[in-house]
Amino acid sequence: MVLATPISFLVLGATLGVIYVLLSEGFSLLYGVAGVLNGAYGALYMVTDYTVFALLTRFGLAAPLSILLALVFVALIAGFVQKYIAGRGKTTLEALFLTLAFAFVLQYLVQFVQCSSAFPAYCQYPAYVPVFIQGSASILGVSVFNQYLMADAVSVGVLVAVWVTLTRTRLGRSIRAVSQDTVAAALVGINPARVVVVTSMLAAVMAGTSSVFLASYQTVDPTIGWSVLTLAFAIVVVGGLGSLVGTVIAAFMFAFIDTYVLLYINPLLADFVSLLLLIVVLLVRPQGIFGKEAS
Amino acid sequence: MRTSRRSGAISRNIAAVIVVVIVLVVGAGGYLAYRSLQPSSSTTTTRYITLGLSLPMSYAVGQDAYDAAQMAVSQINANGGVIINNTHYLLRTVAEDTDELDWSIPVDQGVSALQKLVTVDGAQVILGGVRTDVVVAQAAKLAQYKIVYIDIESNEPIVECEVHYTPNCPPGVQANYTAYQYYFHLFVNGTAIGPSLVKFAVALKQYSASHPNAPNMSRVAVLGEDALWTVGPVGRPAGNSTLFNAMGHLGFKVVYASLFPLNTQDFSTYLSQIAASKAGLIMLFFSGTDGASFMEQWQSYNWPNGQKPVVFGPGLLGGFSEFWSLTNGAAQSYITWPATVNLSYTPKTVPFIDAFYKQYGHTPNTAALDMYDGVYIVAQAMHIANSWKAYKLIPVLQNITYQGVIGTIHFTSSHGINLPDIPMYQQFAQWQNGTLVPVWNTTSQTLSSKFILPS
Amino acid sequence: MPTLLGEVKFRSASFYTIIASIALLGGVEAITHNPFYLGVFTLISIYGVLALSWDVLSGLTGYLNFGLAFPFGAGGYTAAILSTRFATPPTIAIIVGGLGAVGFGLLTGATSLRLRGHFFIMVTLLIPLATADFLNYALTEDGSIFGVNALVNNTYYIYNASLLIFAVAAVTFFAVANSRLGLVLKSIRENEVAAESLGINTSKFKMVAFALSNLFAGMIGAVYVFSNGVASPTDFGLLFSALPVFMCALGGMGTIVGPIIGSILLEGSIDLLRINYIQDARLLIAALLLLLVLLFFPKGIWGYVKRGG
Repeated sequence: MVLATPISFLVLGATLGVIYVLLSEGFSLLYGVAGVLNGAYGALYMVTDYTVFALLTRFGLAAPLSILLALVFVALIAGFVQKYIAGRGKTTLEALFLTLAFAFVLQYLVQFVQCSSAFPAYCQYPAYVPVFIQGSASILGVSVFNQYLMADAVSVGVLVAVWVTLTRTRLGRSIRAVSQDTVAAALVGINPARVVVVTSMLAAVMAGTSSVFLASYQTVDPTIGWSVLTLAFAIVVVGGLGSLVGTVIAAFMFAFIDTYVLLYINPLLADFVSLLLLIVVLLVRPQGIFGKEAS
Repeated sequence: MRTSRRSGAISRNIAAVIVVVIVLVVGAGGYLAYRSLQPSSSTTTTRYITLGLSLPMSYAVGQDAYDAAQMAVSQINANGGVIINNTHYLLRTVAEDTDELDWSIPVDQGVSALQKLVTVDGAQVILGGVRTDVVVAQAAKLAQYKIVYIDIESNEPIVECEVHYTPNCPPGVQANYTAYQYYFHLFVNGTAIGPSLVKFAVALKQYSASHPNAPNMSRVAVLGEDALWTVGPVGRPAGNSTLFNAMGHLGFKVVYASLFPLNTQDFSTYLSQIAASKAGLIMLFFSGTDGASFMEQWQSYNWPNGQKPVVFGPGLLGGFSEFWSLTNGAAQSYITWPATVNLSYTPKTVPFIDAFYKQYGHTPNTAALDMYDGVYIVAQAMHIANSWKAYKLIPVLQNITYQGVIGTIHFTSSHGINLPDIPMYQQFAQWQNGTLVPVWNTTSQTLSSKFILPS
Repeated sequence: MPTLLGEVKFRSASFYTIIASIALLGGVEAITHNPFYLGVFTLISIYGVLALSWDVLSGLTGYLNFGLAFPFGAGGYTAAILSTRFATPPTIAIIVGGLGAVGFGLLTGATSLRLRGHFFIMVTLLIPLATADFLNYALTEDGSIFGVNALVNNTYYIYNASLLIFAVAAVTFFAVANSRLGLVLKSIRENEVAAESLGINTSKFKMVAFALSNLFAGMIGAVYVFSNGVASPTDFGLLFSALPVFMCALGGMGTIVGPIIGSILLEGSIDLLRINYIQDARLLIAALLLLLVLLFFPKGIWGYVKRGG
């Protein structure tokens, strides 16, 4: 039986789309614009949740402060990784492997602290992020969590902020310069390495923000980062590397297709269809919707 | 190559040292473990029987079961241990980590844990098992080592079907008693609880009829995770099972039925469909953290007319003591099965739960109770058989009747649990303000006055 | 038609290392009859074959195949189905499993090998994930978990099978690397466009390397299934795609010795670190080891050694 209406499809798809944008914006900035494939993106997403949980429960800090500190913390980790691990003259491939290895280290470290024979007491207190904006609103008769609506608003805000940064500020111009031609950028006095480090910190903050909003209604687990990484990568590739507009459009594409399959076809096939779509796009038009021809 | 060798050389050397150290540690570890293979030349007169615990030690399930095993072993040892051929043997445990609850880890970790237990740690009997494909892989090795394996927490009947085929078994499974006779299953499989679910639903429907402010619980929405154990109760496609056919004849209307992939995090679409179906009762079938996500979203959802449907169903994680904090309280009014509540399933239950709480600070979960009984059953069987060898232990286990903390255990012909005599598996309990309150069981079949509606 | 196998350098260090590693793995069987240790070294051989299979395609051509789990799982499922439904003897099931992996691989390779760089990585990464999703959807009725007949479960058989496949793989890939085929593959990594302009049919050679890679991955996937007694969708999981890549990166890509070192180090640390007090941390330690080696030895351990460092 199909219990879905076009309205519910549109509302749910749109809400999910904006959330997907939030999830992938950071990755898009880093990969598409700065050319850096950061395999630890998902791990940083995961670490934000655990940090918020630790600050809230073990140190008793208030929610907004915990979130802020957690975002600062992951930004620092991202900066450290970019500067000392993935930067310093490593090729894209080497950086990818190093960040992936680092992601595994983070995952197993969190796993070890969360529950192991060394810390048996913590096993009984699994991490969670509390809902900080309660309740649901009714959009055109469809219930949407207030926190997701807030996530949507934040996502739009972040998008605007990113666009403004990229077009109006010096940092943004530096980032674009570095993405176009690292050597030329260095010639005009931009320090590419530093720009990339700052970009990765921005990307981490974006990942962390999306994580905090979504994790309240989901479960926190050391492995949640990987599906985020795959999704972000997929969206950025389909949208086209280097194109933030492409990312937004691709995010909505995936969201609506996912929602359609979930509501009208078979929930068990939703992941499979998304992956199939991605494979098809990669085979037919690898540079994505808005990307330039791959060199 | 004349690149910057200087600083590179120094850090390279440090790195080389680190790598060498790690390799040495690994090698030493292997060697030390190998040493434990050698027969010990100690002249102690204490004789030991080693119980091997195959558990996911980085998860609460495993830690709880491990703690329960320690309790059982220390109690048995305090009473003189196990007497075999007029000699006292003390029990001791060895645990190996299977990592089975991390779904990215393949089954070979569980298999190597089992192999280490048997061939290096010298275990005579194995207890453990949570994830089905790992249990299947481990059970396949038992014939080679001729060692008894007590499965304490996996919820699918595959290996039981390999011991002895019954009509409920999946079509692809082949029974092979000779190879699988070593396997005994203390946890209940998903197919067997169907009738209890129906009876509880009927009690809920009667409650609706007599309480006008309650949701209309004759309208049922079915939501089940896509795993083998839900094939029986939920059916394929979802809603098409004997359970739901029976409910149809009892005045229920299944207005929505769907499966969801394991580890689903976002239930928005499912909830919107359930709301559109105007269901008053949601029967939820899950085993892991996806149920926790559902719970959080169900609580916050904007239900039409402000009427939140009642949720109940078999949810393995749902009965664990950490489920409440995992959902940050969103499990309020969710009725779960199985549930370890502080009731006297047998005279031994409450003393055990109290003692466990006193020693470890939280209520034991089902794995802990199963493990506790498992250790005791094995100890008693070894005493009766006068041996720990499988060929003597198996006939005793097949015939044993043991009153444990979960109930009176007597294995079926497929080495599964005899459900009607196990009160622990007959309890339905509701989460209320952080504790599990028993609200129904199959003996009394009446809904307790403590039952509350979702708010 | 020029033959594919050219001159083989018998005196090279690589060749001696291969002989040594085969002897080491064979020797373990002589020293210990302990099934746990045999199991650990079986796993090392299995991952060694996977790492070698990865290297023959990706290390030589530069096409980074992040989806080795696909032929691995395909070979495993083929063997499991043959063994349970058609009562095929294990040896035949293993070989047919390998061929099945090649067959399935032809489907995926024909399309994915047309892509370059990051896109090839993405597509190959997704294929096994999509397959696992599909299996979970399609096979739950029957149980997508196939329990394989327990009587096959003979530790020595499994150990010998994996050792044999390891030996054949190592020797084959050594021959390939030092042959004209190997030269063509390396030229693809250096500059594919230039190679094509010289009239080399790069597509054909890529497919050959891909098929070779899939053959051994499929066969060892079948051995893996038999060693566990079960085939489950986790066999298409990310770990089987990622670990061989990491092992080659750690050991040294594009070499024969590199994958062998990598599999011994990584798989050895994961399984041999089952010691009291640190066994819960063994995956963490393995990941740290990987990170440190990649950080300080970007060309892998064998890459560092070869440079004369």
